[in-house]
Amino acid sequence: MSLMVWLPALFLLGLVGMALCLAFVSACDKI
Amino acid sequence: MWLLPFLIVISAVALSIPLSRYLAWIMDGAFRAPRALQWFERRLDSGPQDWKQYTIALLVFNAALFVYGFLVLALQPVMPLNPLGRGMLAPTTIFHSVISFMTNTDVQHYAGDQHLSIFSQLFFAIPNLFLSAAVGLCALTAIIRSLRGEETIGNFFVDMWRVLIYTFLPIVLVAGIFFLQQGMPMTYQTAVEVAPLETGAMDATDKGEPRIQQIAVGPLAAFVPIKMLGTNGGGFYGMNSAHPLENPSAWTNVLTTLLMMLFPMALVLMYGRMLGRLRHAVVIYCVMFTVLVALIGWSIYWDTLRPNSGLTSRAAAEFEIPSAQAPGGRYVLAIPAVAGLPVDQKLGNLEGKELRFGTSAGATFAAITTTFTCGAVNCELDSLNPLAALSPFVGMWLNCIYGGKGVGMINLLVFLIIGIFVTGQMVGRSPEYLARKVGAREMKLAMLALLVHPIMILGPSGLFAATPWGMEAVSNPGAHGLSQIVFQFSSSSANNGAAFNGLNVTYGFNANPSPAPSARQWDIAGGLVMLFARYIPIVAPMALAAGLGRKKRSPVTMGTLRDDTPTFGFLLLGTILIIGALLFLPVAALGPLAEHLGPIPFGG
Repeated sequence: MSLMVWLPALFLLGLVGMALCLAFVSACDKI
Repeated sequence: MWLLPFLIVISAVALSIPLSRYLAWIMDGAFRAPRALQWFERRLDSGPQDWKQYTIALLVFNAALFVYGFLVLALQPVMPLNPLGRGMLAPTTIFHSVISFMTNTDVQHYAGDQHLSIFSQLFFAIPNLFLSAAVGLCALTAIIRSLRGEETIGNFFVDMWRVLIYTFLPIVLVAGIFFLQQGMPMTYQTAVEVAPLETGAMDATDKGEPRIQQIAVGPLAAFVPIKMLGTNGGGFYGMNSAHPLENPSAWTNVLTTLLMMLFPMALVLMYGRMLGRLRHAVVIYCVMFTVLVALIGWSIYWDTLRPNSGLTSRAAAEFEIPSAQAPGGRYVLAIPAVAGLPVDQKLGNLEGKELRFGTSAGATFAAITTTFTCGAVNCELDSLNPLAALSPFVGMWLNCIYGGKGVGMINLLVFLIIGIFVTGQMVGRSPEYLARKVGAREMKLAMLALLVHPIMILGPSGLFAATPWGMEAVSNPGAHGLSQIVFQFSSSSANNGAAFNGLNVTYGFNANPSPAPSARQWDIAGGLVMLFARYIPIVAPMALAAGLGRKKRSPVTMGTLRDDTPTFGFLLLGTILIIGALLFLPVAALGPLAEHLGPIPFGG
């Protein structure tokens, strides 16, 4: 696997996942 | 045979009662710590938080854990304490491992003794074992405070401190010293060299000299207590608690089993104590206990009291294996050795078991580790008889029979709200919990929290079972292969971490020339499942509890559904079993049940 591609991509994927969970907090507040 | 599970379960119940009192005392802030510790507590206290601030703090803390873990593993080759020169793991394996440890799941797509340096074990694995375990307990505490009607529900960082320093650390220290005495290694050495008793047993070197055996060691006595107490389950060794250095004796086996049960059991009673509704908590505790005993009994009955069905009940010399490629859709597989093997099976199915712990130890541990979402294993789950394997599946599918620390009780709360709502609809009354009306908002949030789990299991399982990603990974065809796929996603979604084994998903080091064909897909899918299945079922109930706690209390009347009676217990039990069966019975029928009833052994 190319480290230059996969490492930053998966690092970002993890952060995006956490950001979605944070967005879910706001969504729950609006229900 | 029955003595071991009986002793373990009774001891866990007896210890959970005083521990629940202690936990309630700590989490209510009644404990006056020594001055030095208070100083740290004050530094961490950023002020009271409402549910939203608390939840955001929890998520941001976990995001920081992700960044930290990712950096430690990505930098493994250049870090110290790496005398064997462990290289860099594949990026997808780093992604999967970091999320796995941060979410308290600890599914491992690598073998700790082969792929991690001592530095990574010390600075990635062990801190995560402590921190991820504390997060669930903090979430439950926050929910309890919300249900008490408090507008601000404490401070996340102070709660983390209290859990880590006042509850985990003392127990881990005592257990670690005991494990040391029992022979568990505690060293910064990476490996010890031993001469095998049988000269040449390890083959020969290029020069023709007998090869010396290298046994991986490390700081196990620091690793194992929190691995079990925190219901983490990730092994120092690939073999986990079946390894003689990770679980050296029958006593360490009993204590490690007890450790994983302690907190989840005590937290149910802590829930009642902190709410001032101990009788209500006792009813919940009894419901969980009933299912737990049934699951342990089921797995022992079908595994320890039954022979290996592959060797006896299906004993035939030839088997017809369905295959799309074969002419006529089937090919004949001849296994002459199976029918004629002189195996004495009066002690049950002994395949994949550690007999030094006793014949029922594997089945007992399998049921407990999956019910309490620990995920450590002391036997080969893949080798359980098909119906016995149903017990670990059910434990993970329900995910609320004690469950992980805090999150198990939170999941139960979701079932409880749904049960109360359905009952209210049946008798034509407004459903109430803790004298507050359960409305549409609470139900929407409860359904969100409930449905994430089956979606995260069944969706990816279906995708992988229908594509080469899954078919290339399974080691068995047919029903057993499907069980392997479903188990992997069940374990990930339940934040359990147990492995069915036989699934070829390891990429290992990035330089590995022959990784598993679909390792990348498994790593990424597993990582995302663990992430969403961890945080959505925490966030939604926190919002639910905050909304419910803000509502006015309704007066208790003759028509109020009492939540501290055996009737309520049966209602709760029925809700759990019916919803669980509706969600997962079809996949159980295609996996373990089909394997049991099918004509071919070994999951053909």
